[in-house]
Amino acid sequence: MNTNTQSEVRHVLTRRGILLGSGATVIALSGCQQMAEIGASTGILTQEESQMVSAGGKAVGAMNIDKDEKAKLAYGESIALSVAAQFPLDNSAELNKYAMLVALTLLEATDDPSVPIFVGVLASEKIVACASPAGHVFVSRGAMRKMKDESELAGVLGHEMSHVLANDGMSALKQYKLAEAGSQAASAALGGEMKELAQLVDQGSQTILKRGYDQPQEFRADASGAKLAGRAGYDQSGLRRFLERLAANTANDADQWNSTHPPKAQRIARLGALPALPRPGATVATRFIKAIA
Amino acid sequence: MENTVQQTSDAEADFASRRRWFALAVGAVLVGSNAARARQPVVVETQFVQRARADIRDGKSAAAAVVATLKQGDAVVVVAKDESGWLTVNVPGQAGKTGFIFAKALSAKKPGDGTGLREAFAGRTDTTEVTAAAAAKGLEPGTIAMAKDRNWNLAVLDTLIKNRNSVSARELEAFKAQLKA
Repeated sequence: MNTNTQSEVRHVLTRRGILLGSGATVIALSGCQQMAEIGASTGILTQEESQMVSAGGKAVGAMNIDKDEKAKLAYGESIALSVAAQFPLDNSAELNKYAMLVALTLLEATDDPSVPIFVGVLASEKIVACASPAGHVFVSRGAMRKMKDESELAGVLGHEMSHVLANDGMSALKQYKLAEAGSQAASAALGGEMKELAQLVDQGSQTILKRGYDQPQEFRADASGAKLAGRAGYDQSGLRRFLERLAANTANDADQWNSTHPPKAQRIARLGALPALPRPGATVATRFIKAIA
Repeated sequence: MENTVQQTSDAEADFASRRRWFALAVGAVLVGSNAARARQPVVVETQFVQRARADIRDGKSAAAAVVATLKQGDAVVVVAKDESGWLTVNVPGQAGKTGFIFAKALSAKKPGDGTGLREAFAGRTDTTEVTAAAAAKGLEPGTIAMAKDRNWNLAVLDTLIKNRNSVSARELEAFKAQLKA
């Protein structure tokens, strides 16, 4: 191998190393920026490739957005708007206020009643319940029609509020970023940060409406939601009873919760294993039936 | 005999006098401890809002009326705290007025600024028009830009906020009371 060939091989290997290093590993923004600048200045990377590495670094740096409350709010608000674009809000002010009262009852039983929670009832006959990372909690009229009492609504809202309190939406966002870290060229090709925001919002909406969170997060939200309902004074078996009713009707195509959550049998079994509370909570059927009439 | 009666009477008077003093002393201690309990530990310290938005309310309840809304990084002067977790703070821009904010929304450390995509979420890439519209609606500029891009109805967020604020502290207490009935 002559000197020129050796030099070319070294050049190719270094180039590959920079591209691989920037794409496949999770590194800090400043590191990617430096790598891009070094690559461009030494001629190892083309100008376009240098920009791609830089863009990748910015996107990877965005994994810290869970610590940025303004970013979290904008991301969460966008996801809430995306949900409402697919399932419009129910126009009954009384029903929306009733659901908000149940959520506030739960919120006051948490260790931080100042967490922003906004409840909206969706005017859909599908069985939908979801929450944005910024605290927008939705439940459909269709889901409420399948419930028998307020403790069941409290269990479902408690489940969704648990996702908000545990910051599950932002954890999922970090996973999207990790998954994309190997192909950051896309973000540059699509035209910058605003496009990337749009992609992330789309993924976030898909997670809460179609894919669901990871199973451990869903099981934890079930347990936390049921316990929260119990702490607030409700019968903590409300969520389990609701799931049992849905499970009995497996052919229900309108059950969005079925596609976004772990198998109901597993959820019901885990909820059934929760330790009973010293005093049974309230089911509150009369008020619930009146509210949804 | 008369002497014995006199001695008994003196002893009784002495006992009654001691009992009065004891009662007075106990009363003083109780009054003092009640007064101490009624007082909140007075503190004066500056803390910073950690959330994108944090409401100062007119009571220690998630449904108490909002008297001011602060933004992330805003400074607030804490004047009293107790074990409920709600802090008494001066309402910025309203001299002499105090309200309540939950301790977990604040920290003594000022939050840092965003960079990279975080700025996109916060609206760095937006036009002045979008930023001004966001400020007017109390929404994040990134949200407005996304809504504009996708033709989403921003009024939804306003409806959700109005629904949240439609519940008063009294209504919530009455609602919760029915759970115990």
